[in-house]
Amino acid sequence: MEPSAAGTNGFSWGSRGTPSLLELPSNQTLRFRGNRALTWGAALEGLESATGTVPQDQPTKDLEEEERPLKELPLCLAEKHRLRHQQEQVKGQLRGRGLWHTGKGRALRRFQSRMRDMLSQAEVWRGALRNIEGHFGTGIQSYFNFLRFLVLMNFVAALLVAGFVVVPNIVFEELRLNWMGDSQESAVNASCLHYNPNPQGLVSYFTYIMDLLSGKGFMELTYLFYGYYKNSVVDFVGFSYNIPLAYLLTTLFYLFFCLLWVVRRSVQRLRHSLVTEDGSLGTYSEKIFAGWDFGLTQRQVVELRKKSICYELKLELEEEALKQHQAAQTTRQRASLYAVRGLVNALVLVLLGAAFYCIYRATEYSQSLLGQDDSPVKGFYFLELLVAYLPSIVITAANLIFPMIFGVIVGLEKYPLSMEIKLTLLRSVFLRLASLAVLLISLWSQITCNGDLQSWGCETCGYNVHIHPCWETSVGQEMYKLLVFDWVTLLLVTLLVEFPRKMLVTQFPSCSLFRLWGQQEFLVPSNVLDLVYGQTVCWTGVLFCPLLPVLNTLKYIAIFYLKKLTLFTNCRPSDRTFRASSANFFFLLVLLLGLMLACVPALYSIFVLPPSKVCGPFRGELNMWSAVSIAVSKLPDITRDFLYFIGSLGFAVPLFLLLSILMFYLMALASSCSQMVMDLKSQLQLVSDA
Amino acid sequence: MGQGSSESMKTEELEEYQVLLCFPLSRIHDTFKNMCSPGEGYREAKMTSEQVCSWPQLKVNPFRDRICHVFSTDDYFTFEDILGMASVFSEKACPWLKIEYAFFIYDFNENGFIDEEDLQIIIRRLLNSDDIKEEELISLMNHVLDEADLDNDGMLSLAEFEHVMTKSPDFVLSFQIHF
Repeated sequence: MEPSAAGTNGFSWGSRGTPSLLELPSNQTLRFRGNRALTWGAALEGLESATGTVPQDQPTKDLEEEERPLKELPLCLAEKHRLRHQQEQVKGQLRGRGLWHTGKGRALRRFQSRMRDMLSQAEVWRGALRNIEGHFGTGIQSYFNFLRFLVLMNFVAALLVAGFVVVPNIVFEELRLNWMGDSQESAVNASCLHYNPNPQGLVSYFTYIMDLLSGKGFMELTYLFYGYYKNSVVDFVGFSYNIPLAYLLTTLFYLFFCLLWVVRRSVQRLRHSLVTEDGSLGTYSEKIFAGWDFGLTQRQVVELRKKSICYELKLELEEEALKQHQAAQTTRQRASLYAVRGLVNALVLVLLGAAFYCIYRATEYSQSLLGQDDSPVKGFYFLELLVAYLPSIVITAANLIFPMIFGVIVGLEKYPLSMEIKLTLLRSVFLRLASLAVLLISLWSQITCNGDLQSWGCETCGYNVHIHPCWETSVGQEMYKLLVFDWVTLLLVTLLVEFPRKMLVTQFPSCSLFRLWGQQEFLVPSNVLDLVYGQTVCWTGVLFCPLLPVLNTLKYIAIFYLKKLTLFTNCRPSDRTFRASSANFFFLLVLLLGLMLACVPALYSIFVLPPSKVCGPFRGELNMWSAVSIAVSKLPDITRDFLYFIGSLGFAVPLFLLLSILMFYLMALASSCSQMVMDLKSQLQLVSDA
Repeated sequence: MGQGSSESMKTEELEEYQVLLCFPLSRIHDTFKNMCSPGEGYREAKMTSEQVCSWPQLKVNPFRDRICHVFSTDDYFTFEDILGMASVFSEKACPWLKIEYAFFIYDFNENGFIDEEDLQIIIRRLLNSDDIKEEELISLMNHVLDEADLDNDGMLSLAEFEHVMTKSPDFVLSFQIHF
C-alpha cells in the first residue's frame, strides 16, 4: 500500500485532528524547541495545503519555509518531485527581488548542507563505531561515543593550553628574548627559597625511571609542572606577553570552555525529553516499539537481542508484581523493611568513612615519608615508588572493591532491579569523586599545616615549606601519578585478567568453575565512571600541571583502541541491554559534577592560597589573582570601571535575584503544564466515551 | 556499472535529491553503485522485495517484510524507492518522519491503527515465541494500551503513537539503518 495514497485510503487522518492533541503543552513549547520543530500533524497540514493549488500571491518567506518540510513529508519520491515542480512553477512567476531572495536562500542552504555533510564525513572513528553498533548494539556504542567526545574535548583543550602557555615559553626561551622580571625578591625570607629538585651526586639510571614515573627530580624542571614557568613579562617586537597572566587566564578559560561544551551536549541529549508531562515514561510501549535496534546486522547478536528484550519485559512484569505485593504488606512488614534499608545505608556510610580514612592516612604517610631527607626508603627504588604511589593504590583498590560490596548489599534492600542498579551506580559515583576530594583535602592540610597558618611549619612563608617547597608542583605530581596509575591499572587488568579469563574459559569449557565465571561482559556504567574519574583528575590538575590535557588525550586514544580490542576479543554481548539515551544524560551529569569538584581546588588556589615563593609564574605575588588585578588596573579608565562594576556585589546580587525569579517562573510553568495535561487526558476519555 | 554519460547522475538531479531527502549527498552515490547491474541505467533498474530483503542490513531484521512492503511500489523497488527508504532510516531524518513510517511498518493489518492483533504480532516477532506465555502476552498488550491509548478505543492511532514515541529518547537512535 502506497503511503502516498494516504489521504484516500483507510488511514484515518481525521482522528489525528482531535483538537485536544494540538492543545497539548508540547505544542506550546514549540518556540523553545528551535525553529525546526513542527506542531502535531503539521507535516500533514503541509501536505494538505501543498496538494491543493498554491496561491499565487504568497510572499517569498512562506515559500522558503515550505521547501523545508518537503524533506520531512512522508511521501514517496515521485510525489515529492511533483510537489517540487509545483513550487518551482510558482517561484518562476516571481520577479526581481523575490527571485533574488529565494536564490540566495537556496544557495545558503545548499552551502550549509554541504558543510554539514563534510563535517559528518570528517568524524573520527566513524567506521569503528558503526562496526561496534552492528555487533553489540547502541548501548555499548554509546560508551565509545562518549569516549570519542572526551578525546575531542581534551585535544582541543590541549591545543589551547599548549598554544597559549607552553609554546610561547619555549619560543621565548629559544630566542633568548628580553625577560623582564616582575618579582620583588627583597621582602622574601631566605628560608622560603630552598628548592633544588635536581638529584645530587652520582645518579643511577634507575633514578631517572623512578623520576619519570613519580614526577619528581628532573621532571620538576620541565614544562610539565607549574614550578618551571617563569614569573616574567616578555618584550617582543613592541608588544609584551605577560606569562603569568596568560597562564592563569588560559587555565580559567579552559575550565569554562569545557563547562560550556559539556552543558551544550547535555542539553542536546535532554532535548528529546524536554516536555515533562505527567512523568510516566511509557516503559512498556518504549520497550516494545523502540526496543528493536534496527541497526543490528549479525545473526547471533539478533538472537541475543531477542533474549534480552524477553528478559526485560519479564522483568517489568515481575517488578509490577513485586510492587503490588509490597503495597499489600502489613505495617509491621513495611517497618522492618525500612529498618533494614536504614541499616544498609548506615553500613554504606561506615564503609565510605573507612575508605576515606585510609586514603587520608595513606596520603599523609606518603608525603611525609618522601619529604624527609633521611627516610628509611631512600635507596630502595621499588619501595620508594610504592610509597610515592600509595594514595593512588589505595584509591584504586577502594574503587575496585567497594562497588562490588555495594552491589551485594543492595540486594538486601528489596528495591526493584532498575532502582538497585541506579542506587549502586550513585554510590559508586559518590565513592569515586569523594575519594579524590579526600586526597585533595589531605594535601591541603599538609600544605597549610591543617589550616593553621601560625603553626610551626607555616609561619615563615605562609605554607609548609619543609615538606613542600614548591607546593603547586606537589599537587601537580599527585594528579600526574593518579593519571599514570589509572592508565597502568587499566592496561594490567586487561592483559592479566581479561585475556587469560577468555583463554581459560574457552580452553577448559568442562571445568565448572570456569563455566560459572563465564566470559567477560562489557559493563558500560563502570567503564564510563572510569572515564569520568580520569577526566576529573585532569581538570583538577590542569592549573598545576599544564601538559595534563595532552597526556589525557593520548591516554584516552590508547583506551579507545584497547577497549575496542578487548570488546571484540574477550567480551560476550550481555544479557541485559543497556539503555543508551537516558543513561547518557546521567553520565554527562556526573561529568559536570566532576567539573564542579575540580573547580574548587583551582579557585581556592587562585584566590586564597599564597603561591610558592621559589617557583612558578606567580612567585613573589600575594596570590595568583593579583596578576589579573594588576593587569586590569593598567587598562583604560572606562574598561576598568566597567570590569570593577561587573565584579562588584552591586551587579552580582541583582543578577542572582533575577535568575532565581526566572527559575521559579519556569518551575511554576512546568507544574501548571503537567496539571493541564492530566486535565486534557481525562477530557479525551470523556469525549471518546460520550 | 552502466555505460555512457546518461548513467551518471547530473548535478541538478543530485541537488534535487538533496532537497527532497534527509540523506547525505555522498551516500546517494554509494547506493546508486549498489543498485545498478551492468547494462541497466539507474532510472530503469528494479529490484524485487526478496532481493532487497537479502541485503545484509535487512537480512536479520524481524520486520523486514513490512519494511519492504511499505517502501516498495507493487513489490518492486525502483531507485527512488530505495532512496526514500534510506532517507527515512538515515541518522539525519527528523524524528516525526521516522515515527510516521514506524507506524506504517507496525500496522500489520493495514487498517490505519495499531490494534491488539498488531501488538500481538509485534511482540511475538520481538521475542522467540516459545519464551513467552499466552497470559504474559495479554498482560503486556494491556499495559501498552493502558499507557498509550488515550481515547480508550483499544487501538493506537497515529497521533497516540506519535505522542508516546516522542517521549522515548531511544526510538530515534534505534530506528536507524545505514545503507
